[in-house]
Amino acid sequence: MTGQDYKSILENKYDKAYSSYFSDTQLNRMIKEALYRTVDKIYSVNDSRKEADELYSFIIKNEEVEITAADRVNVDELSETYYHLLRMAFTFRTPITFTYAAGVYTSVGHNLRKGDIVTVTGATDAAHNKDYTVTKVFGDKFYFDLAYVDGDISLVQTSEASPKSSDNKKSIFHAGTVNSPKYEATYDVGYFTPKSFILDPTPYSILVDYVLAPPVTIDVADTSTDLEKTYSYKFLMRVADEVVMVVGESTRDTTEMQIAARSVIDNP
Amino acid sequence: MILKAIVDEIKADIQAGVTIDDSRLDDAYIAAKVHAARAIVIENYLRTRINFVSEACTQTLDFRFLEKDLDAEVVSFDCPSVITADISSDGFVYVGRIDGMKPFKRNRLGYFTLGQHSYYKNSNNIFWDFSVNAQGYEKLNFYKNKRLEGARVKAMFNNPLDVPGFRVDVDNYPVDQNVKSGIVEMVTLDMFKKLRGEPDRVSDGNDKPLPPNK
Repeated sequence: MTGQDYKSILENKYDKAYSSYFSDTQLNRMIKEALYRTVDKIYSVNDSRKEADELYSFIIKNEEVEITAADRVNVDELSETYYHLLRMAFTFRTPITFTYAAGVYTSVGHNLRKGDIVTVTGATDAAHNKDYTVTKVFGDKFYFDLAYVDGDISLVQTSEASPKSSDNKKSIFHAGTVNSPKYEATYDVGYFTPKSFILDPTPYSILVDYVLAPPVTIDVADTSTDLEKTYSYKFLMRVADEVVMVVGESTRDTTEMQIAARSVIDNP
Repeated sequence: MILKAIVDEIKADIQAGVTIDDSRLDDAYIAAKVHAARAIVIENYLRTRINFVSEACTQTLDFRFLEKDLDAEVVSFDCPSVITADISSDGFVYVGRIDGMKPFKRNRLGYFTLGQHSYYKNSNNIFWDFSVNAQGYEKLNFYKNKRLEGARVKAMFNNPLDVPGFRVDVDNYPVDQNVKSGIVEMVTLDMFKKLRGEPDRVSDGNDKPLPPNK
């Protein structure tokens, strides 16, 4: 379905007599408004099953971003255009001081457990620089599958994060910890979405699930882009119903709005 | 079962069985209530079950993490406080030799009697007690062996997270299923009462919810 095909569907929905009432520019503007409103409506309902069906092409999951700034991650470091946050997890790396001899790692007072993930970095042999699983812990000794040569070892821990709110900051229960980290959105003048997230405490990297801004613009004059490669047919029809609502608002046609509202109920 | 699993179970109960993270309650807040509920449940067990509590509720103090102090022949180590039921029942299960085969004698008489009583003077045993020193530090004190380097301490502590070496993200929270169900029920009922009240979301310097006519 191209943009021009979509225009035909829209014209059938809101009334053919009006088909020349809107120019392509006006129509594209209303479609854009309807598209963002539909994404927000589906997102705000927070129905995870619907999210997977309706917004599947809008969702990025488990994107890892390494933290380079002091205590925050900028939104423009994400691979796509950020729109709404779904979930954030922090990954921490805690350095371990140790000695090694004959397959045995020794660290007095270490906190490792069997099954922990440790990561080796900075080894001369690049093949050693990866994650390993601790296979055994006994007293000050721990074991994993690497004949150590050189490099640094760190314990890797990942914790799900929660949002931090300004009014709650004075509470000790609201402070971020390694096991219960917090993120806080910051804005900048002229931005309608967060510019960056302040991270407390600062992790090594974050894993983030987020909704991106509609990836493909619907242009009613376009005859080549297949919209159904990005949006499901049902979602396109839902947006069309929202466009009819916008048309009704702009023409003060309450009947049109009621019909659109009924269509949305039938095709939520 | 780790602490987060208990906290999530409580949050799911409050949210009618749905495990989503959309609560105004911080995990640390619920965790604080879990520690307190655990102490109450275990204290009740100490009173009603003649000091028998499941091994799953105990933790072992690792002396590798502790600093040793020596003052006037008293060897002291940092030690978190334990659950207490009454003067003769508290959370210390074993304090003794590091191999677990010889418990030390507990001193309940107070310092001023120690040096005078013939039982102490003539005894070869190591005595111990628990106290809070002038700086507010909680200490395990050992008497009659100033060369003592370590001991094994097994106890039910007030706050399991205070025990050095405890990994809250992977170590089992020291409760058995009985105690856990008591904790969840106690905290959930407490939360339901708290959640009936409106939070004060308006930053206007007054302790009340939304102002009238808004």
